[in-house]
Amino acid sequence: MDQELLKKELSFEETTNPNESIEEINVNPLNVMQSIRGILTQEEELTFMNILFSSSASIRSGNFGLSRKEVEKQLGALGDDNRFFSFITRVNQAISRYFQLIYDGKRDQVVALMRVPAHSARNTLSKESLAILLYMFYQQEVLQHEFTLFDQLLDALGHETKKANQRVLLNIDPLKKIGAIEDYETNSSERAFQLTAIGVHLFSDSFLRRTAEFSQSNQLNKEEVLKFFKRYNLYQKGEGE
Amino acid sequence: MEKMDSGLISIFQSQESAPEIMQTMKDISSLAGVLSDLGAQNFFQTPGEILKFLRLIQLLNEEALGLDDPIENAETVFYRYRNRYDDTEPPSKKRVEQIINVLVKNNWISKQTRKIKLRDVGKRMMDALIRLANDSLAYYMNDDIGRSLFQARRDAEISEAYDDNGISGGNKIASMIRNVENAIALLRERELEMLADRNALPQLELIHQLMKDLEVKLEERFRQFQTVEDSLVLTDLMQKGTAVLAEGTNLSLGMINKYVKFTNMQKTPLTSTIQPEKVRTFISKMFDPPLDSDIPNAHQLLSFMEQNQYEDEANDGLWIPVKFAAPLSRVAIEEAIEYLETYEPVIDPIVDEEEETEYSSEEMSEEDMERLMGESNWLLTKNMIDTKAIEGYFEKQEEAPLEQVIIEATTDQWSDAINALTAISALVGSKKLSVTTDEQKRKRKEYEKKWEWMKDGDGSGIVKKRTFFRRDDKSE
Repeated sequence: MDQELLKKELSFEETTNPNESIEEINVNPLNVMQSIRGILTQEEELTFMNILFSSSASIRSGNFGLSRKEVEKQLGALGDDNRFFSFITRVNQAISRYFQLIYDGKRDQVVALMRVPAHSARNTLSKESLAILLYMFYQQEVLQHEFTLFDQLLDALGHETKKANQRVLLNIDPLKKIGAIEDYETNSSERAFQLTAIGVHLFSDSFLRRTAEFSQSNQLNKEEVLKFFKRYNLYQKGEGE
Repeated sequence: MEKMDSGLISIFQSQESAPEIMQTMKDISSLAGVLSDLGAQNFFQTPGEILKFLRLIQLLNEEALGLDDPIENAETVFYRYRNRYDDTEPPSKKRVEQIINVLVKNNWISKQTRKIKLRDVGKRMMDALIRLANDSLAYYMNDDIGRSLFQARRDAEISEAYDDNGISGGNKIASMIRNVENAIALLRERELEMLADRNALPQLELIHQLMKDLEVKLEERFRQFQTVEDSLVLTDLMQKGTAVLAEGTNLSLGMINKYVKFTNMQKTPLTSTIQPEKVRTFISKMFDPPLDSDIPNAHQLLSFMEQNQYEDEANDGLWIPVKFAAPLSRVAIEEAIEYLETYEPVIDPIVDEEEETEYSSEEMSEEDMERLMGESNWLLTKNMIDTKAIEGYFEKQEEAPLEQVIIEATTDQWSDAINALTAISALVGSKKLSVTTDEQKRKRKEYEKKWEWMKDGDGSGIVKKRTFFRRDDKSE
């Protein structure tokens, strides 16, 4: 259950009152999903649905979710920090097992992510795409690099692969399409990529844990794994702001 | 015996007219005869009946080999069957007789007064049938991946039994390679499924064992064929076979490696030290791990998570931006159903009727015409000249001297006076007001103003509302 709570905490980068969600343990999220109208006001419910809809990659390719201003406008609370974050917190509390709303401050977007079970997850992204994203995730989240160069990817991943250049490029494409990464403007002519909030949240805690375990050939404490991947920092950073 | 074209005896290499071929074909036709006769008597309707038939044949076969006492007649077969097999529903005496008659008719056995004797054709055909059935049985005793591998090994064995002895067993080497290929394709397909299964290890080991056996057999076969003259033709095939088998062995080995690593991991204690360097190398290798390595790729990792060893792990795959279709309202669905239910196709062709433009004439007096023209002219003028103030003034007043109108309707400013004067002239022009000279010589009010008339009497004209004066904005 602690992990569940943790996820809620991770759901957005800044939170005004993180203790709020710790106090209320949600034991039966599916029930709450049905009674979500009891938790959200009418405008909030509508806004949530609009975010769900607008998160669809096919509807507005490259432009995911709603901007914070748009969300606030729909909530009828322009410039009201409290209401904005309270809305996200409450939605995430209610549906944490199935969805999470994330707010990407840098790109100014509120996006809904859906949890995909391990079995179906294989149909979402190719294994190469996942490996590329995982590598960038490691560089940018763990090592705190600002971006990942294409050459770095090629060096790290392509050493034993034929046609590596083409293969890496081919598998970067879907990542961009679902908005997990974006091109990063550098001064040099080198191509570089940066994770978006979607990319940061895409890997589930369980996936990261298994990855770490396989790499160490040892069972690992989940808390430690999450600390390693800076999933705790995410929320601490928000608190400091 | 005729000299064969190739080293191996094969019906496809022999001359069609050769007497041996004729005899061979006769054999096959006798087999077909038995099968069709039995089929006509409903012997092949159920698997049970077929099995009974094969059991009967087996009895005859054993007798012929001297393993059992001689058979006198159908009755002997009938009783022997009952003794021999644990069958709750043994074939009736009549049934046995029918079978024997069919076999006699097709020359598989000969019926003499005191003895039923298996003939040579019959023996070979029976052998073939029983071998066929046993092969099938062994085939089906394997699971679907195992089947192809089993078949591949069988190919190797048949090749050994036939080709090595100068009789063609068919294109066994090619068949073997194809079977291995099929098995590998199937294995790849099911790989993720197996990794997701907590109890897959025995099966994985079995498959790997089969792969290894095959590799040995294949090597052996290839060595044999290198001495045969047509080995040149087989070079390509052999290379392909070696490659395919190497892939298969690596694949099954890799699966076991990964699986064992995962299983062993479960037994390690929980620790909390993570070496970043190891994580980094692992991720690097995850992109495209070699087949036989113990490093799973991302999809295989997800498969392991499917085993749900940690609580809720199977549900916690990835977080993906959601794709939702726009919601359909109940009303829209109902409308669609209504439309479908009551839909009537248009049968008559659509005729495009051409409408004729009709011109009608309207008559109007010259006066009306003039007034209409004036009206529109006036509206244009009104757009340019602000007459509101003056018009408003004459709402309340019937008539007044010019100067009074100008000053009371607007101000005493010179610019307003000019505007008012233009407005009045416009109103006069549109026949809403009229200006007459003051005949009564009324006393004029004196106003404080910053401008003067050119001639003294100019401001004394009486502005009078005409009878049909209306304010324009009320006229509509």
